[in-house]
Amino acid sequence: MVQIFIFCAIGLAFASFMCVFVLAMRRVFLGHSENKRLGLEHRVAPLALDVTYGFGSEIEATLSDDERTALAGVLRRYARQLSGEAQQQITEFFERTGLVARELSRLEHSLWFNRRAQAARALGDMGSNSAIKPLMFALANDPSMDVRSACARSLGELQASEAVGDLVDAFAIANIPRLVSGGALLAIGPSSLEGLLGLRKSEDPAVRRSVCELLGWLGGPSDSSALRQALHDPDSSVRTAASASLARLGSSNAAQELCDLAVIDDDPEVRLAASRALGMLGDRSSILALVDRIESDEFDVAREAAHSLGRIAPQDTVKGASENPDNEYIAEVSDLIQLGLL
Amino acid sequence: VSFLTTFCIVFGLFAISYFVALNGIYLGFTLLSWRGISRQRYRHSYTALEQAFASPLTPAVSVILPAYNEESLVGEAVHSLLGLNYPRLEVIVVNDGSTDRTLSFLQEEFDLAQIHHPLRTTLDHRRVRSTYISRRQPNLLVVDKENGGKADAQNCAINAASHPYICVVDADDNLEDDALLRVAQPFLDDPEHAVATGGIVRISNGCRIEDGIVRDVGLPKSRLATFQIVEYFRAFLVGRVAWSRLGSLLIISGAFGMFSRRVVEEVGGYWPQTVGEDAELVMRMQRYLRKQRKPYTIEFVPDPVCWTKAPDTFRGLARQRGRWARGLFESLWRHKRVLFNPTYGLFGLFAMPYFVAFELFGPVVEILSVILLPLTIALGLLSYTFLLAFLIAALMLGTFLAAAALLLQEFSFRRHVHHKEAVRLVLYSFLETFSYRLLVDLWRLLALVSVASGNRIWNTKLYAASETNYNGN
Repeated sequence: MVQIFIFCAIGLAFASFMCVFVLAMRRVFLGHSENKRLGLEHRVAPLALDVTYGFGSEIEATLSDDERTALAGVLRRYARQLSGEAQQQITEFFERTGLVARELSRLEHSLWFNRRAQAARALGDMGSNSAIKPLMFALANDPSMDVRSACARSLGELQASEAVGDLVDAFAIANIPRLVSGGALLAIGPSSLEGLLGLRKSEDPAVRRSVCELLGWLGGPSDSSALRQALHDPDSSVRTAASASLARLGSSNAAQELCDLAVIDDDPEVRLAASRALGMLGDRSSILALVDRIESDEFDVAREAAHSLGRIAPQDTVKGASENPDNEYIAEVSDLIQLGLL
Repeated sequence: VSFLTTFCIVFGLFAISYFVALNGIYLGFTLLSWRGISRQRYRHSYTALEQAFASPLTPAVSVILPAYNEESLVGEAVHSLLGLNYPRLEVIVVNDGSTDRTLSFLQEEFDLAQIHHPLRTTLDHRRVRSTYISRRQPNLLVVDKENGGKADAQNCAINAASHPYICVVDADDNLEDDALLRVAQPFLDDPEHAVATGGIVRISNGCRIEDGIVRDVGLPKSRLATFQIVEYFRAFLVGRVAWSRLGSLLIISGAFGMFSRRVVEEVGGYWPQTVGEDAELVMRMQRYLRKQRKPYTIEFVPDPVCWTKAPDTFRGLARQRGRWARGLFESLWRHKRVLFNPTYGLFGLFAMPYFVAFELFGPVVEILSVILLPLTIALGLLSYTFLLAFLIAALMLGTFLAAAALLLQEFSFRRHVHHKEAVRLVLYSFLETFSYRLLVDLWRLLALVSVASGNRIWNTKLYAASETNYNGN
């Protein structure tokens, strides 16, 4: 037994020593490499500006490998903030120096999922259209969700309208978080609409709901008919999202249907969303429905209806509060109106 | 003498088995954590927090701050919360019947105006006296209520919350700018299944804090606080990460946790009859969701950082650890039916028994071992050679576990950048096993004895919080 303890103690002492040794070495190494990187970045920062002005090719020949890497790091950060001609110059720099090709090779061949994901993310920053197809391929086929998510983000950054189909598929089957695929579709903009509209009859209610939500951010008044149809969807989460999106699009012609939903829908979440939508639309024809909702037993619905009423008819709401001091929802809205906070 | 000898032999064998089992689990957890943290570290390099911040699809959050006699801290805490990088959030401060100037300070600092603000009646809490909104920051709501304890104040805030997710913080906390976005990541990735997440809590003693933001990370002069830094690394980066990977996380710190409001309401909110309301809520959620057989996730996310003040006096630390031990006992006792119940999977078969055997009764075994050791030697049952070998092995094991936790934080989310501080932390990890840990075990044991003897005076002090704040300061 004593021998076992002694062996264990020796093993653990060695393991502890190794932990401390690795910690110390890492600090020394990190400190050295970080100082070096900062120094290089400081030196190449003015050159990065020259690249954005189109003098990249003249500079490249004078750079060492380390300086080129540092310059690429600075330019990647710039690329996220810039657009137009300056971004185009940065992209050309990355293509000329072979960095796009290097990241493409990592994306396609690396065995480590984290390296493939980093490459996918870098390709989005670099802004090269030559990366779109490989990114689309990886989005559809890579086994790692992290890599697929990074591809979707980069495709969004590249505003790759040809990737809309794949992103919509990813959105439908949710093989990456819908927030990521939805975010990419939002970044691509209205050219995503056609693909999204194709999904509105999907069997999965989560897909139909997300489509309605995205339509509210991407669509225009012409898309309101699709959303009005969705107000009659058998799934309540779809009706909720459609109500919110109609309000965002300002579809006041949907006011009557929203009034009906606010009053008679079975699901309180739908009644809540419809009441909120009515306030955003500001249609005075919905006042009666909202007054009816304020009397509801459901806290969130009644409170939201009162807020909506305050937005549509502020003076009447303040007057109503003084006539009916027991109604706490109206009293709150009246206070907010008087403070100028609604 | 023969009875004593038999007892010492049996207990000695039990203590050695206990030691082997506990440290075997710790070693397993360390390996599990390496995998979990490595993955999280990789994700840092390619996730895009700025996109989540800019996205209209990111869900809104209500941040809840219960405050009792926090006049000196609450202003900084609220400023820090209002400045968080998160697209849509409201901050709800509940003044839980403070006897100091907490409310009047808030009124002046944030230009509060009294308004009617209806509250849901979903969860029970003490009477609300008045509600206020900030004229300058309309997303700040202050609720003034009668004193009912922290859990009661949190329930009140949940009733006042407008958004589908709630984030619970303490008044002596300072969240890093992007902490809320990071802790919300599981909700953004999988909104259908995520129900609760927790972030890492780190100790801010010794740090330079301005306007509620930690500007410069440093180590405190206090030895006690420095030991706690080493302890927190192990507890969060090893313990919580591993439990999270096993899907059996039982504790999300009351200092920093995010929850689905709907699920919290379904389980009945915080339980005001315990001082361990944070752990009890998570246990109840685990129990409820497992019984429902619904897929869900309760996760610990190791990179969102919440800085908190640690007690740096013996009295303060003893009070805190006593409160934690008592809270753990009350929570475990309330959910005793889960123990070894296969209906609850790993939660019932491993996590709960672990917490009972090693967290709750750990101090009993450890302190008893220390007391019986001289007796065992006096009875000639233990040779000095054996004892020395065992102590050296135990010391090395404790050192290795602490060093591994230090290495984990170094590789993952290093904040202590000065080399001198790293050396000091290594030194403290060596000293911790036979000094600080024994002291903490003693306080936990005293708390357990106090619970067993039904010490009502202690209870009264803890629940009514008549003179101190929630942290006993």
